[in-house]
Amino acid sequence: MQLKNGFVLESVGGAYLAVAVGEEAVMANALIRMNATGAFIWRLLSEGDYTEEQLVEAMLGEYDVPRELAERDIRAFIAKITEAGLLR
Amino acid sequence: MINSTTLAEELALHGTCAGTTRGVSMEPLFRTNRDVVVIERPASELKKYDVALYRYPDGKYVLHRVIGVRDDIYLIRGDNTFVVERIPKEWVIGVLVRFNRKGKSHSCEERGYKAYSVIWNFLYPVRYLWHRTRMLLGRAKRWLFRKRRTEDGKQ
Repeated sequence: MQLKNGFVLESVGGAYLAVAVGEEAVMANALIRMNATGAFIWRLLSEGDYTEEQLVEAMLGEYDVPRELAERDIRAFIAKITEAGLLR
Repeated sequence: MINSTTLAEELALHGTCAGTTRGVSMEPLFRTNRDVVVIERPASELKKYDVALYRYPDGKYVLHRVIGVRDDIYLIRGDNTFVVERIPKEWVIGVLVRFNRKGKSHSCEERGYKAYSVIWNFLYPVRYLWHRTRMLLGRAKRWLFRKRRTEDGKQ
């Protein structure tokens, strides 16, 4: 899976905000708020094509968290961005 | 101007928000749907050159630059407008802290951005004269064109 083009990710005060720009901004006025781990996954998915398993591995490589927690967080994150129609 | 209806709620809830801009009033800095502005709830009074997000009583949001601070009001002008607005301080709900312009992220603390703010404001009289001259030239052109057409009509 991979994110659609046309989003800008900015950080402010410990939060990360993704905003639709260009064509995407005309279609929907989206503002997506996430934490640091969300932003980590967001960056991966905006740069390349990843499976859920690959995302879990990448997260375990970056953060010191139990595998079950990483899997649960990533599944929840994917569900959210799928529901919002942000995947290609 | 800014491109969201939930800005006030986002700011009240999280103290931050972000969105694209609409309109030409902050050009050349921001262009419609191209650039992203990141807004924070102001911790203290705004200073000259800060970019304020404020809300008119009719609900319209505007993002323009503070060019003066008075007791109860801010003097505010868009980088590409030629009128000064007197905005009550309580209308201001946010201040620009970061922006993403042409895909590049910038902080409002950057020296380059600060220099732009000061120089752009300093050049206002020149920009105003240029704006007036262009308007007069446009009017003159239209007048000449109309004159020519009536003469043609007579022939």
